[in-house]
Amino acid sequence: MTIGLTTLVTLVMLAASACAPPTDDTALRSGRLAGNSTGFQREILADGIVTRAEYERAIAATIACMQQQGLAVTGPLEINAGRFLGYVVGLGPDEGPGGAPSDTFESVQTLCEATYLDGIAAAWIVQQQPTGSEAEAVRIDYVECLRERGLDIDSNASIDSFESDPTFVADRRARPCIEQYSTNVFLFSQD
Amino acid sequence: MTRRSIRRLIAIVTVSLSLSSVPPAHAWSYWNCEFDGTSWMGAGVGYAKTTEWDFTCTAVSAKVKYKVDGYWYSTGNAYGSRWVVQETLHVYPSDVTGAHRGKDAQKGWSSYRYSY
Repeated sequence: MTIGLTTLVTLVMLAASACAPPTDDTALRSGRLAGNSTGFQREILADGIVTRAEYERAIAATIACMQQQGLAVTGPLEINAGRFLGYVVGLGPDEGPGGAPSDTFESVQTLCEATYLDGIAAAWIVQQQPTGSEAEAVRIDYVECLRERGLDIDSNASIDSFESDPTFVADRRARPCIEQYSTNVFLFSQD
Repeated sequence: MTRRSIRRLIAIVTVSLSLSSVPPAHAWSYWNCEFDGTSWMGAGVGYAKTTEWDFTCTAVSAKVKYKVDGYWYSTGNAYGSRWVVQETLHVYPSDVTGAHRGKDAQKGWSSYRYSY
């Protein structure tokens, strides 16, 4: 993607002046966003652990950042039965014959996520991955859940082997099991 | 044309046809991180999937840009260590695009690459 000088200057100005901090934390003050976008996240990641409260705080800060820029944001929304959180951003109507929305809102979304969320959410997902004997226990429960719902899954199948199939992801029968066990497939909890 | 030549021609055509039925891959390199992305519709919902190749990336993310009644939306990112799938909130989007990123150990996140 090529970014023109005007666009770049606009983004920096947006970062510096508009994506204001959602809390009183001075580390989040405007001006830090473009040049030092990890101040907020560095504070949370300092002890090497992301707590649920910190994860929720990062999601809230990201949403607040986008809303302060005029984006219509729905959220926080529960994903996979509340184990993860997400949101939906309104980007606008079709613009021009290409049938695409304006890049401006997406740029704001990207900037807010880079500032408040990317590192924390990536750390959160790592923390949610079962390891060792726990991973095998999760696999067994996951497969059993699917088989009870009528899916033809071998009892020894690896999670990757069935989750990587696009038809599996869209199978409504699998949905409750994905929501309960998956750390690869992210479904909005809308049923 | 000999019988052997005909057999060879049939074999070439068969291989060509089978190769042309393979969906196009969307693979991108970002420093030492290689990843690819796809997006699709299933059961009236849109999905985007990002996959990294051979442990080259430290993380990946996927989000979905999608259109409902002429208006575009974007999900937040789903993050994964090797691969990840994100679905749309709304049902029956009319257009879906996946936005995919990989994270390099030294350089951090790539810019978004799009699958159509």
